[in-house]
Amino acid sequence: MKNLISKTIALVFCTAFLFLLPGCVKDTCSKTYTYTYFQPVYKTTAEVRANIKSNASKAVTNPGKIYIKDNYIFLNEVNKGIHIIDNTNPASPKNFAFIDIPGNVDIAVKGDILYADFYTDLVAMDISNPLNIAVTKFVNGVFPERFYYGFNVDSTKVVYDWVKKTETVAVDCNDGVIAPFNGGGILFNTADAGMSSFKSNSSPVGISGSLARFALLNDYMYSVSNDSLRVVNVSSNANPFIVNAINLGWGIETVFPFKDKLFIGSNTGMFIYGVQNPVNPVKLGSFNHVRTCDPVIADDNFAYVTLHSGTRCTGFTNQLDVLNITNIQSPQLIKSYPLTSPRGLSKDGNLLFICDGNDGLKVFDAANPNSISLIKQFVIAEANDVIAYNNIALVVAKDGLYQYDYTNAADIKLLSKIAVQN
Amino acid sequence: MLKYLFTIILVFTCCLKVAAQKKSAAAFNSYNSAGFIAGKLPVAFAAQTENGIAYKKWFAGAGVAIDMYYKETLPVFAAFKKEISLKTNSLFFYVNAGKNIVAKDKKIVGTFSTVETKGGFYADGGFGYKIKIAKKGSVFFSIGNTVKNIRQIETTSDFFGMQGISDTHYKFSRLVFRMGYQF
Repeated sequence: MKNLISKTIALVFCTAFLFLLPGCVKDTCSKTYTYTYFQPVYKTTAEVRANIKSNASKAVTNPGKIYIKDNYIFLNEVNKGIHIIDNTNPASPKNFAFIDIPGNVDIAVKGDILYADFYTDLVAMDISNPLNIAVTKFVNGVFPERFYYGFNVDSTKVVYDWVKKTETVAVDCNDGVIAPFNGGGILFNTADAGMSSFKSNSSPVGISGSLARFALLNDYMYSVSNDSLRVVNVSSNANPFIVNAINLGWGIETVFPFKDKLFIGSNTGMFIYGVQNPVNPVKLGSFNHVRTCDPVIADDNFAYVTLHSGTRCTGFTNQLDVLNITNIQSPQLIKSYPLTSPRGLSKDGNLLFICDGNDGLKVFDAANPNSISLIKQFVIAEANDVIAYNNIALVVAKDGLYQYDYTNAADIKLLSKIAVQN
Repeated sequence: MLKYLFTIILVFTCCLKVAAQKKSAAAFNSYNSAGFIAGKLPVAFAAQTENGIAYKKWFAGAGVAIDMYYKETLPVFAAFKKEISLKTNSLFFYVNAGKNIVAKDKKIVGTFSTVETKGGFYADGGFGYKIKIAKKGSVFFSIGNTVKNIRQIETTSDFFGMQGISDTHYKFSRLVFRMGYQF
């Protein structure tokens, strides 16, 4: 009897289960999206402009491009301003002043005048006394691409700073991963850092890195944006004015001046422009490569191009290309050297310095472009750009500004480091 | 979770040995089956093995399965059954619970995004019918409802290197049909 009851219960249960089972079939999904955005902090244009002067030094937190002039290092703090570092003794550099320039990522120096971008504007400053820097001129609208659409509350205010915020929102599972627009924030480019070098007959200029977007050549400053080359007349150092803008096509990254030429790095190739007519540079030659990021430097016969892949740079190529530029109309690839994630580079004599991402700084003997060999490697985090000049190699990395003495190529040694403080 | 399952397996192995020594009614049982899973997504293959101790009309053990629904996972679980005899054949009810482990493509790294898949809770319950075909062997059929949870974390970087993290929790509740052999 007991057995019969349990069998009956079991059969009833099974039948009920079979009826209810289809109702159990469902797939559910819940999704959240966490994103980071930067919210602008506004100040009046008058306030911000009044503050572009020698202020108290600040800790280096997000180093950008570097520039050297005489015994001073000008180190960009990305989108914040410029650190002025007294480098009279490279073994003990002194970070002694800071110029607040919101939106600043590029620097160039001619004579006693420092040129810097200030969002869409160019600002010229007299730096003859680094402790008392004074603005000589603002040139409006030189960099129109630096305008942050949607953030100009009115014409009297500018974005002074950006506050990083993180937010998590629930989204529909069928939606793609698209950062919701916050209405007050922006995901913005923190621009590469960089340098280049040359000598001219006019006021002495400083030396910038291979990642620079400013290049000074005689009485003109050339500035590249993503798609154009702008020519700024700086014959009167303190009174710059824009004279021309030339469309270069999309993907322009860096500009390096050498003698009467401009070597322009784009993410699809290297372009060589002649400046026989300095107001209207003319394309002389080009070398195409796979789509990737590519700072370039050059000397009389060779151009050195580093190609690196990555989030913004796309592609999968990481190498150094050495090009023969004897025939400027038709640069020829001599040889490619595999690297890890190369960025900025610099050459002094036969020594070639390459920042190779997390592999750090690599120093090569480049006496023979067909057989470039590694001499020394310094492992530093995310080495980004380098200036090798006067036996001192300045390296900007994620964690600070390093200086190496290469007087003796067989014994290159670290002289000093200004550490990044978070 | 895995630690608990290994403990269960260990305990049952010990019980098996003790049972054999005492010549009790407890005996080692193995259920091995294959079938398919039907849900809102396309039908997927499923297979599993459960091994443990049967004592009187109860079974307890541990199992591992292949679940191809949406994302290939390997559920590892504790298994329980209750049998009701119907002359030579029998009806049984089962409950399994554990964790599904992502079998492959745990982390897919792309140029602009990385997708990481993590396993989660797994459960299975239903009933079946067992037909005795040998002294120590039976063929069985079962039907049940099985649930598996999966979490996918997609980290994306935009053109400027800014990160976004998409965290998706999936819960799949499906029907499962199996056919297998028990000995």
